[in-house]
Amino acid sequence: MNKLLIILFIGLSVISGRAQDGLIELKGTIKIEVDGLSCPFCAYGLEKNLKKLEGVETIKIDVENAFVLLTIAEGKSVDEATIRENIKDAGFTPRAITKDNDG
Amino acid sequence: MGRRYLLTLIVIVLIGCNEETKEWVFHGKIELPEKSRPLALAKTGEEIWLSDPEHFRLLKIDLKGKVLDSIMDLKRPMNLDSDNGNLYVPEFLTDTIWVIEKGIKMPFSIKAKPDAPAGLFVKGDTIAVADFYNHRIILQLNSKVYFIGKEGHKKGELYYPTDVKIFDDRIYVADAYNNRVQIFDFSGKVLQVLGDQYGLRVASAIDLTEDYIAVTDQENSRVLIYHIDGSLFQTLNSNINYPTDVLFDGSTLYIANFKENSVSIYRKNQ
Repeated sequence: MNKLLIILFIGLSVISGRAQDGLIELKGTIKIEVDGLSCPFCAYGLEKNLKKLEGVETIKIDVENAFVLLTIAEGKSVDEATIRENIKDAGFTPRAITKDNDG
Repeated sequence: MGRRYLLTLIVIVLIGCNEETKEWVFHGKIELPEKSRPLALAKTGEEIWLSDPEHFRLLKIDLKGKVLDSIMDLKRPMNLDSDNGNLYVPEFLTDTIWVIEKGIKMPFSIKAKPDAPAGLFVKGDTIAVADFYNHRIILQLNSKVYFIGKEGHKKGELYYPTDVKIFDDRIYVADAYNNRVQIFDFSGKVLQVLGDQYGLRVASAIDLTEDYIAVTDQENSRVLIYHIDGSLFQTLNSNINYPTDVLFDGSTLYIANFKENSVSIYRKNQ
C-alpha cells in the first residue's frame, strides 16, 4: 500500500512538474491565436520561424483571422513552451493554443 | 459687413491654396481576380507584375486587371523590382532571389545571404536587398558587398526593413517597424529621416521619381507623398486599403491594396 502511494506521489509530481515547465506535448493539428498577425511581412516571417521547428509538417497562416494552424508529423510531438518561445522570437505574442478539430 | 467679407475672402484663398497643393487625385481602381492579395508591384513594359504571396504566385496583368501571365509555386514572393525588362523577385521563405528573364525563372546570385529578403533594388551592377530578419540592407556594388544598418531604433539603425530603392546616389530604406524612411549615402551615413512626425505606422514600401517620394503608411491605410527634399507634399487616404506597395509610372501612381483584390490609381493633376 505504501509502495503504491509512493509511486502515485512520484507520478503526480512528474506530471505537475512538466505542466509547470510548460512541457505539454502537442500532436496532430493545433491552432495558435497570435496577436498582430495582420501584417503580411510579419505573418510570413513567423511562418519562416515556425518551419524551423522539428516535427512540424505543415503551417497554414491565416492573416485575416490572425491564427496559425500547425500540423505535427505523425509519431512526432512538439512541446507548447517551444512553440510559444518560437513565436515570441519572431516578435509576436501567442495567445490560446488549442487542438484544431477541423484540422 | 466688411469683416464678414474679409473672412469669406480668407476662406476662399485657403481653400484655393489647399486645392492647389493636392496634386495627386484618385483616378480609379484596377480590379484583380477574386481572392488576389496584391503585396507588391513592378512594371515591365506596358504590363504590371504583382506579387501575391498569400497564393504563392506572381501575376502579370494589363491595366484593366486581365491576367496575362502567372508564375506559380513561389514561396512567398515579396517586394519586386524590374530592370531592363527583367523582373527580380525576393522569395521570403527560402532566402532566394529570382530573376525572370523572357519568362524564364532563374536564381539570381548575390554575395551575401539574406534572412527573409523582403524587397530589393536592381540596376545594372548595383543591387540592394532589404534583409528583414538581419535588420540591415545588403548593398552590392560591382560585386563588392557592404552592409547598412543594424538592429535597433536609433538613427541609422533598422528594425525589420521591407523595401529599398536607390536614386541619385542615395539609398532610401523602408524602415518598416521603426515607422520611418531612412535615407543613407553609400558610406552608410544617414542623410535624412522621413516619417517621424506624421504618425506613420509601418512604412512598408517606397518609390521615387525625380520630384517625389511615395511611402506606404500600411496600418493607417494611407500613402504619404513627400517632395524629393523630404518635406511632406500630400497625404493620400481615399480608396486605399492596407497599402503594401507603391509604384510611380510617369504621372501615375499605383498602390497595392493588400486587403482587397485591387490596385488604386492616382494621377497627378497637370
